[in-house]
Amino acid sequence: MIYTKLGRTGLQVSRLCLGTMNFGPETSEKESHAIMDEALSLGINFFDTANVYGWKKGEGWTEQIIGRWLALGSRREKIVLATKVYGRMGDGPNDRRLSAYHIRRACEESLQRLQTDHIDLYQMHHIDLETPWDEIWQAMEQLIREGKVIYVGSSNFAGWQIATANQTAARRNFMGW
Amino acid sequence: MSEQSIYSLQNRAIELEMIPACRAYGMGLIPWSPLAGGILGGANEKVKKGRRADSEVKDLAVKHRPQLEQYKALCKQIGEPPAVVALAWLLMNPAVTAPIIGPRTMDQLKDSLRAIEVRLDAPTMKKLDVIWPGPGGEAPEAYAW
Repeated sequence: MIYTKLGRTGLQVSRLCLGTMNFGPETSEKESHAIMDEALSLGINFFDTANVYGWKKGEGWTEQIIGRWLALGSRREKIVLATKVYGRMGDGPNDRRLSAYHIRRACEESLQRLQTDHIDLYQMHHIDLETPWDEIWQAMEQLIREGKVIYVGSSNFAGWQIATANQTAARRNFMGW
Repeated sequence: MSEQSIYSLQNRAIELEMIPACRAYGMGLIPWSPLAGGILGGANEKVKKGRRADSEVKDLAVKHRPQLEQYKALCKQIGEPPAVVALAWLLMNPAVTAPIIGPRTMDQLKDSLRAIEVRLDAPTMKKLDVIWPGPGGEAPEAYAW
């Protein structure tokens, strides 16, 4: 396997990232575990999921499958585990998006499903134009202070939103982003 | 630290604004749907299995039928499976950290591994640009001066 740095960080990730969106809805738990075993043995250390995977068949399902695989032992420390927050996880008005309220809760729930004490890369699954950047960054900084998250990333942003995210993070001296 | 965007030979929209933004801020880029829902990996209009193997993927395969024909012919010339070429094309881009492979089966996982060893030469990259044209570069030069 070939490894490269994740952006400007010092973190080394494999040049293929294992996506897990099929795990559960399309691929059985047994086959999903076998695929993760094989990926790890091939040197793929970068595993990506999202709290909403499982989708209409049950949000959180995919994270649970990964959690039961991690619980088999001696593998959590070998992978860079990425998941995401933003998607709808319940019927309540605060069961989605990037409010500080939801970020804290979504992170706790992902940790429980994944059966781990930290997420290596916590990604915003979509831009939330209704939540101020200071609120988002404060919530992420808190998770980092608590050791629950190491790096923060984004997904499905526009270029200008990447710029805004970086400028606001820099103003706060936020090093996790 | 990283942005995960939809990006493949079939969908090159992020070359305009996102790739320059990632480069400017030192962010990693993680392309999702690198095989465009599977159509770049040989999934065709008859495909049934897989989450995205629904009408969306079928429509995409129908819409891009002539390009897919040319693409498959080029892959044959190169001597690599279409899925490997599509991933290798992304890996040639210095902005790309790691494409997301979303295997549904063990075989799909094993088949994609070869992509990290394949180097596409300049004439091949040019041919791929002709079949799957991007937005013409980065903003604003892609559409202004």
